[in-house]
Amino acid sequence: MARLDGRAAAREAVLEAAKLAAAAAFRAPQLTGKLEIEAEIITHEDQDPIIEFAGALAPISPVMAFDYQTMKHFRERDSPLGCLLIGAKLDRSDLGWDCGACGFESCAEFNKWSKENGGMGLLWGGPSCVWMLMDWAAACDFACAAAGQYRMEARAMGTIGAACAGVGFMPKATARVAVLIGPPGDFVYFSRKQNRDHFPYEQHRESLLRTSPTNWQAFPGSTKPCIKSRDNWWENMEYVKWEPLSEAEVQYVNDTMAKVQEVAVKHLPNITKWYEEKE
Amino acid sequence: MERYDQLRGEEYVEDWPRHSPQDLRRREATILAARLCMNAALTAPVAGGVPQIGAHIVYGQEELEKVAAKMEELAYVNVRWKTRFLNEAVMVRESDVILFLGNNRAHETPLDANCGLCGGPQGCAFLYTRRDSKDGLIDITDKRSATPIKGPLCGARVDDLGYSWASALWMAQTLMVDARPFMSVGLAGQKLGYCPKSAIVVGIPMATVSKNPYQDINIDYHLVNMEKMLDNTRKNFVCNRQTASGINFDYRTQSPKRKEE
Repeated sequence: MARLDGRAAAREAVLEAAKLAAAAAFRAPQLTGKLEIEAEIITHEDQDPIIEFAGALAPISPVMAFDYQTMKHFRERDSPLGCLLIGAKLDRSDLGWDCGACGFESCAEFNKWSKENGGMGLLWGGPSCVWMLMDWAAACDFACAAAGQYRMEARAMGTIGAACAGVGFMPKATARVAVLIGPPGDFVYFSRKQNRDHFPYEQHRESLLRTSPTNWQAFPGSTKPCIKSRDNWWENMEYVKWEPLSEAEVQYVNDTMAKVQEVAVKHLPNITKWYEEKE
Repeated sequence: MERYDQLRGEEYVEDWPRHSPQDLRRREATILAARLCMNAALTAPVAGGVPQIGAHIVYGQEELEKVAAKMEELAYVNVRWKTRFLNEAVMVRESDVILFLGNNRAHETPLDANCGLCGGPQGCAFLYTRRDSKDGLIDITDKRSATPIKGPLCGARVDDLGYSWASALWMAQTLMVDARPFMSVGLAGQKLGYCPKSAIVVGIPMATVSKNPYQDINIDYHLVNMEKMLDNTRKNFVCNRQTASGINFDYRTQSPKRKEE
């Protein structure tokens, strides 16, 4: 084989870069010198349950929606995409440093509370020993830096890490981050050009108005300032209000979460079986 | 062009004696590297890209000694700290510079995403119910604490600090500068007032000498290290000169004869 097609070579390099990123994660310096991290590289059809889970959650989580659209886009086009999952169990500490940063006076109290009250939050499990937490973060950072060193686009995603947890990847870890690596190209995970068609101008505009209303706020002398939400904002003025979600909105969230649960239940046995067989 | 005519000179560099002019020239480059590591820390990927890292660069013989002495003081606060803190205090004395990195938001302005890192299923309620807060605004004016670090802290912000110091370490490795992250150095630095706005601080001593000061550490390192070795040599050799031979002849006019002479 005297010649290689450059594009094909770049595609093949994604998996190699993901492997080297995994090696970098294990090479990351630690504060504790004690944390065992886990790493897996999930590719091709094994990514499908993750994408399905993320897609189920997307209607109520815009950040999940961005990452869902990105993964789905590349998977549908059979683009090379490495999902390097890095996890660790952070909810027990045998350090005995009793530093207090976790909110407990001693590691023993932390462990006791964790045993009785710990569990999953929205993205990750907790509580977490802050020193082990930073060692895990360092592993994720080194993985990203290694991929970057090879000029592979990469991004550490708590969202996709949570989706992996939802369908059963790394059952013993309490925290997981997915470092998506590749496909080769510019603006893959930042200024994501492939996402443009999924989020029209109006949606961008509405998101900005919702998240930064002070930028469009009119004179506040009334203490109930209107928001300049249109060119002719002085007609039929609009206001920001705060109130609990309506019954219909709560129902929508609950219905969505029920669908997310269905996806999890569908994939959990198959994915967790892999770990059982490994043991 | 005249200014380029001034751009000439020579610099002799050697890492011995410590803190000599030739050693200080060497250290200057490590301080430059520490600044680049700080830049790497500040551009590390963090949740939402939110600015939150405080950095402090500390160098100089007296400044490093203060940090090392504080670490030795803290070593006796907790029996589990003792060996680490004492060993690592030696490493600080053998360093050129310390880069302190802290998180300025972990105690006061959390991510507020209910992520679960700090308290699991309780989400952000875990942190807010354990700190003084009003309408979701945390009051950090009361600095009193029964523990060395006042917790709880926002797990997501602490996570971001991990990415930050790891990026600094990545840069150090790229620059072939020896460096290591330490809780002990960070805590001592925090107690001395470095990274004044931070809730939690990690210290990264850095050095560019032939042997990495942070690896291959022998037993009882706080008793058996280069500084102690040299000091004991100084202590003993002045006596050896006298007891072994020095007092038995006048070097100007005499020299001990070999047996065959």
